[in-house]
Amino acid sequence: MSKLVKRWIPGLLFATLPGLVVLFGYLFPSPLLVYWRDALVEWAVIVAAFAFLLGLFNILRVHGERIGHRRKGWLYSLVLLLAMILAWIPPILPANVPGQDMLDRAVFDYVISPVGAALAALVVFTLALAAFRLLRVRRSAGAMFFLLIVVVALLGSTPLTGLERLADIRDWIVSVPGMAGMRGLLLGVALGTVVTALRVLVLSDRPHSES
Amino acid sequence: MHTALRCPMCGTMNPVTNVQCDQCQARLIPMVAPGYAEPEQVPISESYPPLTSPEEQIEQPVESVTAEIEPTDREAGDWLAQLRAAAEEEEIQETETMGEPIEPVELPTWLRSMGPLGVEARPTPAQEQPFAEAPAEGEEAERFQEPALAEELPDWLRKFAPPAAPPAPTPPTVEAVPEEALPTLPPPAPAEEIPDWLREIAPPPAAPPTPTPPTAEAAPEEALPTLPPPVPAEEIPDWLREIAPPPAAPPTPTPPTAEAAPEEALPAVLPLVAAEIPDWLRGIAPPPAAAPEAAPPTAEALAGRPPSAAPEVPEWLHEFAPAEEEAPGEAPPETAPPVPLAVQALAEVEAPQIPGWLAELRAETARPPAPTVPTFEETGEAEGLARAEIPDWLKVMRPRPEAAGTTIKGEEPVETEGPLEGLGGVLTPTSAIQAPAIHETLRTPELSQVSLSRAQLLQSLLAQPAEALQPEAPRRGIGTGERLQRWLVAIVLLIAVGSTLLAPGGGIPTLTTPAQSPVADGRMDFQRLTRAYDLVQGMHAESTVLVAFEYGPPEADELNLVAEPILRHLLAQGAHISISSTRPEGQAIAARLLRDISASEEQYTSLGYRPGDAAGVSQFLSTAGTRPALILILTAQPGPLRWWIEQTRALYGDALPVVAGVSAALEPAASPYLDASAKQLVGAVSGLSGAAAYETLRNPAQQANPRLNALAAGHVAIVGLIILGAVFYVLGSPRGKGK
Repeated sequence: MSKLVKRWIPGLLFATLPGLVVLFGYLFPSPLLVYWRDALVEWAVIVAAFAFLLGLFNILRVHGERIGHRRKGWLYSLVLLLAMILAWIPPILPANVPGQDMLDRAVFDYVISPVGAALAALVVFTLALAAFRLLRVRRSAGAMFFLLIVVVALLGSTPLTGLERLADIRDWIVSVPGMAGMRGLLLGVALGTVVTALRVLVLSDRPHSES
Repeated sequence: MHTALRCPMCGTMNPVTNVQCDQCQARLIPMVAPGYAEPEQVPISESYPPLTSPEEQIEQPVESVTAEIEPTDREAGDWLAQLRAAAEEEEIQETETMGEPIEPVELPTWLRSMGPLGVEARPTPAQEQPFAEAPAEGEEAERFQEPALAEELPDWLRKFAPPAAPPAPTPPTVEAVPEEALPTLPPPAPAEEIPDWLREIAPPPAAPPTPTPPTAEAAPEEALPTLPPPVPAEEIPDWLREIAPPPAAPPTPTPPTAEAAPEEALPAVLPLVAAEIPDWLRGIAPPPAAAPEAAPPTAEALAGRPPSAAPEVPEWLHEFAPAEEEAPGEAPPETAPPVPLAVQALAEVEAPQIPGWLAELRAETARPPAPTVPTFEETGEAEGLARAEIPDWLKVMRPRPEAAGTTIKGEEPVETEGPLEGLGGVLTPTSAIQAPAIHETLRTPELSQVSLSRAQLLQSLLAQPAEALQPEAPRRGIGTGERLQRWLVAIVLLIAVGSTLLAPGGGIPTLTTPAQSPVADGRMDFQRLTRAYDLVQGMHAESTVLVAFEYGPPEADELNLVAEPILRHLLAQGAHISISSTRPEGQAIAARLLRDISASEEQYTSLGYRPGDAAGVSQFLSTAGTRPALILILTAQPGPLRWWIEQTRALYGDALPVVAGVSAALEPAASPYLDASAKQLVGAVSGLSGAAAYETLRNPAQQANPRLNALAAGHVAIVGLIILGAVFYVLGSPRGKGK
């Protein structure tokens, strides 16, 4: 009895039934099923919105404890919390406050965007250094072939004058081997998603439960 | 033997063992208060004395009583001293309060019918005089002793009649008694005066005369030990034995150490005896001679008394009597306590003849007042039982009353309650901490070779010293060569890109070719770009294009370049742009981009953030008021691209075209959806080169994008670094040196 209450009833009510309703809502888009499908999806969106609140509270707790106990890196945590609090100020200000829009835009344009772009630029630098030192770590045919593909893709991605053939080679690499690999990857992801969905529908998996 | 009791109420004959009448349930045996049980249960005197008045009983010689007490006293041990002392105190108190002799009361009719010679026993004026002062005449005495009515008695009564007056009861010492003492007996009533009904049941008149007690003055003490022996109890009728009051007066509290009891105390004691006798029985009281007047047992008397009375002590008294071996043949100590008269009298009655109710009373009376528990050795030897060997383990468990409530050995407490009360050292005190909570039965280990090998293996593992913690590898400092490599890569990239951007027209040649070049016409990426361009070109002023900004600031520098030409094209076509995103920063990216391209707020609408990933996309598409004419997905991640493509195809199918502006790195991931057979993506613009080609399509006059030249310069620099590094490490350093 307890197993029925703890395992099967919640699974049937909160996993199988909604999943089947949404699935049949897509397969057989009758007005009733579409209504319930859209309703259930909307409920899921609302529930997912609260995940941000949970994440927010988790950040406050983790970094707050670090600051309170003076653990290693507590200064960075302090900067993080201060930046987060400052980022809250513009959105919560009333719209008729002078400079409210400008302040919000300035935070994004002069803080967030440059920092993000700088991090992306570091990736280019890191990848270039790794490619430079690749043969120092591993001297193999695979490493050599990898470097050859990298050189062809880089030179072929830009319409360099005089190197148009490299662009064709790069296009072939992306369209044939690259797309085959990605298609296989996408199909694998799709099959995994279907299998996972079926396991949830038959209550073989209960990601909504700890047991 | 008398085998029945007549009910005083209805006259029905009942068995002697009955306490109540079977017919009317009347009590056959008078109720006796427990406190007065002792004097009342004293059996009738052995000599079946004649009934006398209380006044006559007062004159009973003390010596005769003492003589009867002596044997029992001697048998009694010290354990009875306390009883005597206690009884002495009680009776003295009662005597003081009830010192006046009680006048005899007329017997009820029913008692007259039961009591033999009750009427005749009524004292006459002559009898009321003391024996010494009013000696009876010899003729009267003889007439009283004659069995004048013997021939008138029924046969059944004759056998109960005591033997002839002269023989048995007549003690040899009677001769020494002066003749004056005999006339004190009441003369028997003439036979004519006795009613017929009484004659039938009256005992023979010859019974009473014998034990004519001598007066205190007349009876010398030397004659006391020679008093006639008590009549055997068998000769007493049952009915008389049961209803007759105890002839012996309650024991007079006399100190055992007194040489002789003061005779002055007797008058004060004897009325007490009379007072304790119920009125209805006073008239039929036993002869005073049998009343064991408690006299102080003299040492001489105790010493001269042979231990002949010992066998008369019932068995149940043996339990309370001390062992014989403890006082073998020795004179009882002067401090020996007096024997309770009740016990003494009961001892003279044979146990089998005592009815059940009397046995109960006897048991209650004889119950030792003191909680002295006889030891096993004493009890066993008193009863003549062979002493058994007690095992040692049982001796340890033997109760030890003296140690009750205390400790026997100081460490072994005596149990004060429960079935083990009085036992010590049975339960060894143990600390609760030491006691295990769960007792498991020990099993004989059955070790197998496998178990032994496993145990040895475990032992060897445990014996091994714990591995020392691996010290953290010291941070290897960055070498000079590595520092040079890093600086080399950074400087090369900075120079290649920066120089192209800062001086586009400063003598630096164009590295790229226009998108409309004939060479590019047959490439796949150009075809996808062309389809996207054509689709945007088909938008008009009433079209609503849903643009999903699914990228953030890190990807903004690349995707903004991809999105800008497409948005400019849409705005140029007059389409209305609806902005949505599944990322929180998507709205801010879109607002900044549209602001940069100088789009008016009427041309686009922000639909806000949509949480829930795929569910958010589905919910957004299903709740959108108007179906857009085109969906433009701007992303650098494969996830959002898949969500939008799948949900759009699931809801709208082929009816809603989707185009994507992705980063150059995401082009391989978008290529499956761009396949001609799938047609999930109508077209796509990939990376900076695709954006440059798109701009070229919109404006053929516009030549190479300056940013595309900077990108090309950077790609060339990276390729140069890769080649330099490969040559350096393959040719310049030995294999595996860098590992």
